[in-house]
Amino acid sequence: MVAWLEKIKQGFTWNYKGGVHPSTNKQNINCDKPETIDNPEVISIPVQQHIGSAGKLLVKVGDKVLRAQALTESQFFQAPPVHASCSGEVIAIEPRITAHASAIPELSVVIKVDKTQQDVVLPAALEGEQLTTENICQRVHQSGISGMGGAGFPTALKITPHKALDVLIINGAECEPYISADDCLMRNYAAEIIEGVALLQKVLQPAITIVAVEDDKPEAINALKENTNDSISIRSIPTKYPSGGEKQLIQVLTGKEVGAKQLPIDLGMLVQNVGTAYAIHRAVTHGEPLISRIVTLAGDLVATPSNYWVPVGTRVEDVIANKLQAASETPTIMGGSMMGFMLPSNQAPIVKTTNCLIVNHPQAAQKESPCIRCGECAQACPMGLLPQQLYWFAQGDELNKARDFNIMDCIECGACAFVCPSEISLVQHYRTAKAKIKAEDIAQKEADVAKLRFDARQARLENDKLERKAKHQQAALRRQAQTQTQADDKPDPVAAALARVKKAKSEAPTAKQTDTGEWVPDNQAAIAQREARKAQKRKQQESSSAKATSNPAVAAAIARAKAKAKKESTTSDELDSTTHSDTKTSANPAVAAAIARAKAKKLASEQQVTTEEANNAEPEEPVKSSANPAVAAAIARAKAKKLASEQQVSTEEANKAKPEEPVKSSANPAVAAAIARAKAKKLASEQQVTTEEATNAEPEEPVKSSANPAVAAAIARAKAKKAAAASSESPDDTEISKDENPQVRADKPKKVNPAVAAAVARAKAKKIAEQKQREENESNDNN
Amino acid sequence: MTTTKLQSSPFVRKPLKTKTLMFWVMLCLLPGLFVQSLHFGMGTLVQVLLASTVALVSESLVMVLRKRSVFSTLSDNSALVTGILIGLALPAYAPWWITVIGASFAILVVKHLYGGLGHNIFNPAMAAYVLLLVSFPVTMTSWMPPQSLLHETLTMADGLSLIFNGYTVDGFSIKQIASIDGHTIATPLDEMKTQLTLGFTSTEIANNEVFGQFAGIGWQWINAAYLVGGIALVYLKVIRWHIPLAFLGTLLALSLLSSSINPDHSIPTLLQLFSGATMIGAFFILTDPVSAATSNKGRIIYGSLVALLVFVIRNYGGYPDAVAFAVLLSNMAVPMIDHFTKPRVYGYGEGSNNEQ
Repeated sequence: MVAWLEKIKQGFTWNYKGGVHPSTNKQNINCDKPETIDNPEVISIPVQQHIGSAGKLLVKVGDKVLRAQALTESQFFQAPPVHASCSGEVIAIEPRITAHASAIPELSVVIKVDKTQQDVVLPAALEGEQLTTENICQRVHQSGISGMGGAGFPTALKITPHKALDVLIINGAECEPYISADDCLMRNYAAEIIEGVALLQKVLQPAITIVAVEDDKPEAINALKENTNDSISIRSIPTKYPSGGEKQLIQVLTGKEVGAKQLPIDLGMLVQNVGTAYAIHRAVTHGEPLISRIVTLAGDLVATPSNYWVPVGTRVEDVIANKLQAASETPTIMGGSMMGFMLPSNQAPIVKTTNCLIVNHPQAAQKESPCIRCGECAQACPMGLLPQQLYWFAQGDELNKARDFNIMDCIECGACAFVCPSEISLVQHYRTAKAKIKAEDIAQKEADVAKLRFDARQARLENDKLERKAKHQQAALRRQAQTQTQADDKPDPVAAALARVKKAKSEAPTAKQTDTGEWVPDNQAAIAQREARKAQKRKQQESSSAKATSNPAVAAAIARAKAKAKKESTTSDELDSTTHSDTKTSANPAVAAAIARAKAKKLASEQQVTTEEANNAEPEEPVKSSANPAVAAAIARAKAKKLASEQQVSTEEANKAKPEEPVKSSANPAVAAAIARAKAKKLASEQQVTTEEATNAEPEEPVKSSANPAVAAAIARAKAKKAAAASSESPDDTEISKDENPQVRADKPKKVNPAVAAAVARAKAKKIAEQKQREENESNDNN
Repeated sequence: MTTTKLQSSPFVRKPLKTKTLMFWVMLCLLPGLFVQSLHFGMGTLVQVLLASTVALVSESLVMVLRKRSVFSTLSDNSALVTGILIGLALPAYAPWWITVIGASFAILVVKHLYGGLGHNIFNPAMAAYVLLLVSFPVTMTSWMPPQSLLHETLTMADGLSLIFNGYTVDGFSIKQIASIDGHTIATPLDEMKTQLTLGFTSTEIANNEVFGQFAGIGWQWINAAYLVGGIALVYLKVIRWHIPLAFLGTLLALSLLSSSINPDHSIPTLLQLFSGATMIGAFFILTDPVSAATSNKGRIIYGSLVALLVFVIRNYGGYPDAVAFAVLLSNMAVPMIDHFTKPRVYGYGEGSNNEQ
């Protein structure tokens, strides 16, 4: 590395293969201190004259602008601003023909130049302490400086240091025929260039700084040498086209090649044009933005080929006006004769990268003859490409082959076409092929993205479908499981109920018949018989209520009524049935709670209760009840209280039941907990309770009861009051109807209107209260 | 404002165009043509004119058929060069139809059936020569002895009569004229080959008067003339030095090697280099850009390959001269040579310093 740098320092130069020696045509071009051309009447300044993006417009039509006033601004280095190169009035901001082979219109600020030419107040020079990297970069950016060698890369972006720099190369090679703008600049402004280079050194801190000039410009080399300092070496390099190309210049000066995907900075090198160095000096030490540049005007038709200072935005026709020997009949060439382009219109403006205008006599149209594979182009190519192969591929549209042969590395220097004996416009073919490849790449990229999107969408849809399917499957499974469990469980209640009904029916077929007959109240003859069958009917009621689900409230009401009726009696059988009905109505927790409370009170006053059944039921409740757990909890609490006050409880069954609870209960754990607590209390205080029967019924209730609980609640409350105040009055008539109702319910459970049922229930409640005495007797009988 | 069409860069070009190149080739063939005519009579000139005419007519025909501009195609001079080379390659007094077949085959089949200039795989002149050689071996090997060896000098009228009638004005056939003291005289290479197979040593054979000072009477000077013309071509940068140098260098090296190992049974080195089609081949035939390798490295390989084949065929093959065969065989190898001699592209591979 050090040896290499040392070699460079010593002035060693390398050669690159290829390259051509076109006649330079520079001998007769005047390179004395350039005149500034007369201010044109109108200038047209494209807002973007560089690689990157355009800044934000600061002016609008009608604005008066001063010379050097910024027309655009941007805080980003990739968008250097443009400035008014003359003072005047903005007369249009619109797309105008620009300096491009296609003459494609680009947004330009058109200024009508005034006579006075006032300058804007320029920013102060950066001096001493102010000369920091950041300040210099910022100033370079604000001054709108972009590479002046041709490509127009934003300079501030390029010189912002981000990597150690070994070699800073200042490009003064100017290898193209005709162009002598840099030569002129170096001859006449060598000191300023050197100062600009010094500023670049300050920013970039390179190990070596070289100003490279082709040896056909001895005056420029001398001028630079006179003004240079020790840290900047002026290097004369052999004249050969395209030594001024960045990659070739690097190879000549350092012997290194910039890798295919690399930038010079990756090798620790940076190349800046001498014009850029000069512009940096003007910007930093004079505050002047880049508003004018030296342009060579040359060609056969130009009377006195010379260099001029031309304000940026001046139209080509204004530059060449009065400087031609005869009216031009050929398109003006902008740039050199090797890489320049013919302007479709002389309305195009001079931009920051314009270094030369060539006006020649009309040339015979190029006449391509077949390629004879002489291979001269391959010998001339400074990039080591095979132009003749690329030409075949480009012609045959074999873009992939062309790509394989590295067409994208072509720098379009034109050396191949220059030597081609068949006069084939090779570069044009490559440009077309490259554009096609780029278009293909873009299309490919878009297609890839589209494919990605499509695939993602497909995957998503597929996923959704699968998810839906899974969900459906799960749901189906759940349903299946439900039906399964229902099927598993139901056979129990349904079959059991049915069995009970059947049993009841078979046991009391005559009773039914007589029942229908008994709807008529005047029939008193069968009373004895009826009473005898009452127990059976109650059983029926139970089973039917198990089946009958539409209105549980009715059942509840009935049950409560019964409960009250029994309240005063000491028989626990009926109490059990009430508990059944209570649990049946458990849809609404409030109801259940009320019932539970009622029951609790009831029970509290009871002396002897057989709670075996109740206990049996408890564990099953949470399992089957998919309803509100609060209900169950309330029930549990109620029961717990019940049990607490009970004297004798058979604990065996309770114990049996408990273990089953957690296993079966898929419901709310709170319920289970409550139950557990209740049971615990129960057990603690239990004396002797036999609740077997009561609990058998309970489990079925919550599952089936689904009707309006509010009604039931109201009824319940009403009944409770009534029951409390009820005295011992019980007419016979009502007793009958009370017996009948349950049957009706059992027979037509689904048709019962809850309201009706409620009313009925209330009625019954009253009745029940009245027939307390009789009830007692009957129940006692049954028991 | 503008009357001319927009052109694309570059706007300056090297003055050397295809037709100029071809013109220079023809010009540099003149010394050889002159010396050849001097030694083998006016017949050579007649053949050249005849072959050129047929070539041009054939090309015009094709251009008419292909509906292309006849003039612009003919003006690239490539058909003319092919015709001249065929004329020079044929025996000076070969019958006219030989020339017509050869020239028309070269242009119609070898050149234009493949797509015209720049598209042909084989060197048209050599392909035509090989066609004639395998089709009419006797006629094609019936080279007249150099004029200096003939008892009678042939007039222009004799030449024309021989070519178009088969007999001289006096009624002699080519065989009768070509025999000296009763036996037919072959070309030096032919003679050498024949005698070598008969068991003579090359030194003995070389004493035969047909071999002249160093490489055969007439032939040595003809080759010298082509060498001069060829050097001029290189000097004018019409051709590059790689192919001729590789070819001659390899042939010289192989010949020296062979002579040093087996001097009695090898064709003498000078005979190798200055007899037969060596020099015209080295500078005018191998360097046909269309059918030769394109890169410098490839050209060196190509030239060496042709030399190797020439050496092998001359020493061990059935034909006295071998340039035509060697060129055609090497033409076939050109695409592969080109493939393996692709230059390294800037920024790729070793020299690109990518690791930095």
